[in-house]
Amino acid sequence: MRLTVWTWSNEAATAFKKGGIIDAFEKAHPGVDVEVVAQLDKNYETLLTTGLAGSGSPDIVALRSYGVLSSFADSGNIVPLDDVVKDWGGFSKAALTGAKRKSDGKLYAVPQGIQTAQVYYNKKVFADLGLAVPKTWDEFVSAAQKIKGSGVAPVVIPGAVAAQISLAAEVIGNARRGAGDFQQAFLGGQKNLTDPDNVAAIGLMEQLKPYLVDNVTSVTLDEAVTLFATGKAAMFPSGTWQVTTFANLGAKVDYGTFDVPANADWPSKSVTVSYADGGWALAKRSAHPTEAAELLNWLAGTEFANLYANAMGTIPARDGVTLKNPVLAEMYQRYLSTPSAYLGAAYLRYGTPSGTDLMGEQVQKIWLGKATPPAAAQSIQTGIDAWFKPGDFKSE
Amino acid sequence: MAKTSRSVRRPPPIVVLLFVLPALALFGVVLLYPMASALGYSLFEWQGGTNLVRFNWFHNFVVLFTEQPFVEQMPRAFLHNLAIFAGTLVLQNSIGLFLAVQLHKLGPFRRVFQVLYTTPYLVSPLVVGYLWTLLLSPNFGPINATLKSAGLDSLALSWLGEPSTALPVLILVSVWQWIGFPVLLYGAALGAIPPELGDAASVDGAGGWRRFRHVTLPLLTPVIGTVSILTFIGAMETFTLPYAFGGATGSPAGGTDVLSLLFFRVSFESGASNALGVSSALATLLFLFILGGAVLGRRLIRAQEDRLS
Repeated sequence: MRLTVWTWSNEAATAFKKGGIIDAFEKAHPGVDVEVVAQLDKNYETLLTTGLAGSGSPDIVALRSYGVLSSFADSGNIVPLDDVVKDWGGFSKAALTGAKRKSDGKLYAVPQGIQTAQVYYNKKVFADLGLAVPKTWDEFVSAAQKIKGSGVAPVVIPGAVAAQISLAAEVIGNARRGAGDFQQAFLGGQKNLTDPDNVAAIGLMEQLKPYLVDNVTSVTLDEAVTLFATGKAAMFPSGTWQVTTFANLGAKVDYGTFDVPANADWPSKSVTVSYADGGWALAKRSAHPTEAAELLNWLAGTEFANLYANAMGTIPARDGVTLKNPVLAEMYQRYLSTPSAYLGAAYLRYGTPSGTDLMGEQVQKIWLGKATPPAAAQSIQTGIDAWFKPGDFKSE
Repeated sequence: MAKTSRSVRRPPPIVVLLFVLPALALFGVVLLYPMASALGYSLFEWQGGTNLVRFNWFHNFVVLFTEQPFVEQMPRAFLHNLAIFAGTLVLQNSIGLFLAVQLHKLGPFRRVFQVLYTTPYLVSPLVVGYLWTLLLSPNFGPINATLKSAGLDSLALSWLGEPSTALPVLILVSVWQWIGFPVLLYGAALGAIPPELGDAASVDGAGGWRRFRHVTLPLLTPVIGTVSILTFIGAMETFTLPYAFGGATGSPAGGTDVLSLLFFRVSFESGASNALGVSSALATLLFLFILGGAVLGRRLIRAQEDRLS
């Protein structure tokens, strides 16, 4: 018999076929064939809606985490896995949050991977100026000042793209806002986004303005990558995936990564911003639920996580993995020791307007001189008030 | 006798129906059904994509006019659509007509230039948007590099990074892309005007401008109307170019946000449970507005034609 797996990612399908993942599973499970089909990324959710509802449904499907997953769980076409998968022990809380349905807190997917977000820095620029990796936010700012004096743009952010701005703001501001403690108070309804600590966190984006690449609100993601990879910008707050991008570009830049350091008077120490990056779900209309459950249990284990993360160049969602790429291994270690969820991606994308879109727009306004941090924070809160209710997340 | 002649002219209704059926079926499946279903979807509450919860009357429409983010973002997007319409209307009609008149006088090379002006029209707006983003980039683009090397640093703006320039640039690039279409339409209409009319006016002592103003222009009214209505529809529905320029959020700071982007954000990007209902309501509203605008525009133009004829 044959199990069909759907994903939106060509890279994932290739990793399964050529990275020995399918072979490893089929060897241990004689009589079960696995076929991984990469569907068109752009229409993936639409294809899934139809594919899962009709006959000939795939058995296991990759789903984007958080809102998308929760929405598919609401449709009833994927089933809860709390009892299907035997061992959830190796997964971090951050990874599991992305796999839960908002309304009942049940697990509907086996986490696929994690994106961490951090600052990439150009080692040569730092060495030439005698700079070390900053240990406090104040050191970060004075390093930026020194880099600016040397004629290189200290920081590049893809300021034309709302989602990228929001991600950068999270890298910069997560610890200043109070990291996990703030998240808990926010979800419990004791604090909202107009809290002074969050206003101060957004304020860091304003403080950063003199150190950003010129015309930052017109910089696309491609341009930002190019500016960093060619040494025209020294620091670039972004996600894990840039490691693969830089490698594919053949960029000569010698880079390292660090988490934004905290000042002593901040409510939290430095943290590793991270968010769940997709998961494997079980289709309700699977013709072979028993075998599909077996495959899911295997997808939740360390053998798969080792093969998949190394083939894809991603951070695994669970522990017990050895990453061959040293930069990724470093990110993985930091993630295991000081994870903090990307608040916007994890909780503020379940309605319109999404918290990350609002964040992107408001930070653009701050950079364009059309808003102040308190006004921006108020505006984002007003936006999400349309749909966000503290306490809605049964999972927390 | 009269009875038979009538039956010869008009076959029984069933036969008429049979002949029209294939076209009707195609129209129904391809056009009517999707439109009717969007209207239908907008009247229900949905959960998690496609799970129907209940009939909800016009609640989804009420949401569009009473709740965030729509009370703020819908008028903003709507005004941008109107600005795009006004801008393209003026520029396409004036530049398009001017080019068509010049090409009409040109003779043998007319075809070559017609093809040249129409070429951008054949490129996908997504590609056009991407190319212009590269050209206009303050960091890498040749436009600002040229301006700076000519000493015009003050004109080397952050074109797509400032709301005050992003929307005008969007309009100009849109006109640049579609200009070939009115040029072709006006060209064809100019070719259809009998030269005797102009000759007669010349005999009566009319100069070049008066001939154009009082003979050519009135005869072009139907085409001006067609171009205007198509511009209206295009501007209200515009999606690809704004998306290529500013992404789904209408960057910078919502400066290029339009109704289709708002629709896209609600229907495809939000994790909202009732996304289908609200986005269908928005789509229905947009459709009705475009339909109403087009019908009204057609009326106005017909009245103008009647006045002239």
